[in-house]
Amino acid sequence: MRAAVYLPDGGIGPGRLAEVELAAEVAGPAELALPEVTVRDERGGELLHRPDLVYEPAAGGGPLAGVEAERQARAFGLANVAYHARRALRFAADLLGAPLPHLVVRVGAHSSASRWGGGHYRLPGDTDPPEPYPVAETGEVHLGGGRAFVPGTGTPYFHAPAHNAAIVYHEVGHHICRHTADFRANRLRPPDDQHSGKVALDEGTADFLTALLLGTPDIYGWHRRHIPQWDPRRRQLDARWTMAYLRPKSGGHAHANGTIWASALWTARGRVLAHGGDGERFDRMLMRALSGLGSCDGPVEREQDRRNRFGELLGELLAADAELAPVVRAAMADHGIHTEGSNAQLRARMRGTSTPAVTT
Amino acid sequence: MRDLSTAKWSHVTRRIPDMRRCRLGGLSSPPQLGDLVVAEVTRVGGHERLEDAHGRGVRLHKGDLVVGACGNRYATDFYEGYHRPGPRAHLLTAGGVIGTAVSWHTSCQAPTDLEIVGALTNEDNLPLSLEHFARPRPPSPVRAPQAGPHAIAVVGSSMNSGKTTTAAGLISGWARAGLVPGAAKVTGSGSGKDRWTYLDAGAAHVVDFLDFGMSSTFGYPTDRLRTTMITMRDTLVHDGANAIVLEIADGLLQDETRLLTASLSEVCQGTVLAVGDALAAHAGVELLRSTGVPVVAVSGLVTASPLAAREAAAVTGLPVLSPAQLAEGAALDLLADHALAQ
Repeated sequence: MRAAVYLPDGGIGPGRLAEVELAAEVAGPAELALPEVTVRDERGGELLHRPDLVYEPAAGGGPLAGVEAERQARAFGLANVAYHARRALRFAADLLGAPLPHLVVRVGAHSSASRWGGGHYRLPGDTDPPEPYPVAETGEVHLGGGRAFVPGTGTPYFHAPAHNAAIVYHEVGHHICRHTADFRANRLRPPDDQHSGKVALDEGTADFLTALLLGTPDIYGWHRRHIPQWDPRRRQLDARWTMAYLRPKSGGHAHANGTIWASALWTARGRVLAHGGDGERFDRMLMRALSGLGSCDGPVEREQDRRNRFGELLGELLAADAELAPVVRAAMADHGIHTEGSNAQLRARMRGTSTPAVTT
Repeated sequence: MRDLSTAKWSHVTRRIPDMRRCRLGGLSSPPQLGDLVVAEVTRVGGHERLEDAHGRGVRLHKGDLVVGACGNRYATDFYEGYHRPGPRAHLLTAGGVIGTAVSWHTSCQAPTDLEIVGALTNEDNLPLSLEHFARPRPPSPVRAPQAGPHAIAVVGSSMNSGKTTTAAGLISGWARAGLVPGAAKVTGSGSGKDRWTYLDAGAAHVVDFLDFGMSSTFGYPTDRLRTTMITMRDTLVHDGANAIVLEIADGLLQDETRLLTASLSEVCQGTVLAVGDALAAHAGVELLRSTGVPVVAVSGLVTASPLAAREAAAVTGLPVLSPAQLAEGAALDLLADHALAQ
């Protein structure tokens, strides 16, 4: 089925509007079904009325758009999410050599008086606030309906998360993490009492996968263009982010801390390419490392603590490909990431060095 | 003759571009509403501080010279005052409105006493009025009849019902949504308080009646106020705002407010009513609906009580939204409802 979507173009924007072939079935007036993923607009309405999926982005639609423009924008969002979610899931499955569990994506979730412009990945279990949906055992991505216009674009564009491939990739990245590294050791928990919280390595891995799929380290450059590139809230993968910037424990911020891991992966991949290596081989190395980290059994608390350590995941990474290991080890060391030591110890060690940033 | 080098310039003088070029002159004729005058503090009363053009509260002392503008004041929980030419007057607002107080709320002290020293003049000894510093009316906007700017009015059941906080909630919500908020204080008495509140909430552009030559709107002809309200909206659009809140002071029973609200349907897409309790919500919504004004939500002090808010929602059938809810996203939806209904 032909579908209009935004294709990543490496620039600051939603991407290049293009028509692609998408093996999707219209499973309802606001639902698309693919083998890997089901995408549904929770706000309902007769969105998918055409024989194809070629809808207009309509500048994101949004509350100030007319009824038809909003319908077009929502329908476009469904196809766009389906395309990018499937792409990310297939990318991971190819590297892992096996498909990931089916993913459900709910668009326009949690609509209330408070508009929501982001996304999250949820598993069955207690969350704050509670989920209004019975969450699928294999995990769900929820995307908000949008809460703001993209700043500084001249022509107003309502930032509907479904139009933003970066947000889709990031959230699907959590699904990939859940079924590989499983940072919260959910495989060891009861199916109906899973932990949906994210640690820095989870956020960072999702950001790295996003950068990989978008082809740019400035993953949120479109909707965060008003935030300077040096500001951690921009979440741009950059050589400057080392363990010296880590804020561990209760004062930590998983996203900002995750940018350190994502940046280190980006540096390492760049070094592999610079040494004449193969990028896909590095990507496979990462997937093996994630699977290796999540393969151990043991008490949940102990496993969760172990899987939270940057050094542990680096150890898995180095073990996953002995040939690439020296280059990757050196790149990671430049970001202050070593196999020995807790996260706090790595931070202290990096803060004691005189190297402020990394040469890429 | 005293010079003005030590005078305290009040908020209402904020549009004077160069105060050094102003002089203290005589009063050759009785001053009119909006005329700028110089007065001496003869007794410090209810207003111990004067808000200057930058928003600072300047402490007043007996013998100080203050520069303000003649005007009236209608404030049910403060002063009722009128412009009455003569040698003695009162400081009616901290912002520098000068007139004679005739009644005040029991919780208020007697006003600060002033003695009029003379007129504020230019270098040619001609008396100055706020009218001389008013903004020019912007060019008439070119747009389709149905394509008016996104504008919401805020009116209240009474003074201190939460209008400005409600307006700030709208502004904050729009700013967070990436819109360019503009705010207008359509009526009231010269003071910077609401202007600063709008700016603090994220307004990119702000105008008030001072920008259009009035120290206080109480006592001006309703036609002028209505024309000014439209001019304020168009000025904000001209300045670059794309979501506008128009706050009308005092309660719906105040004469000018009542007359102005009757024309709101021609000026904005909807009205938010700020009230303190459910009964006021019921009466206010009925009053507005009877004049054809579309009310889109209730807000204000009533939202501080979840129980009272539920009462208000039940009796009006309208969403009751706290300023925080407006800031969190509901403000955008208030614009949306009307865009879709057009």
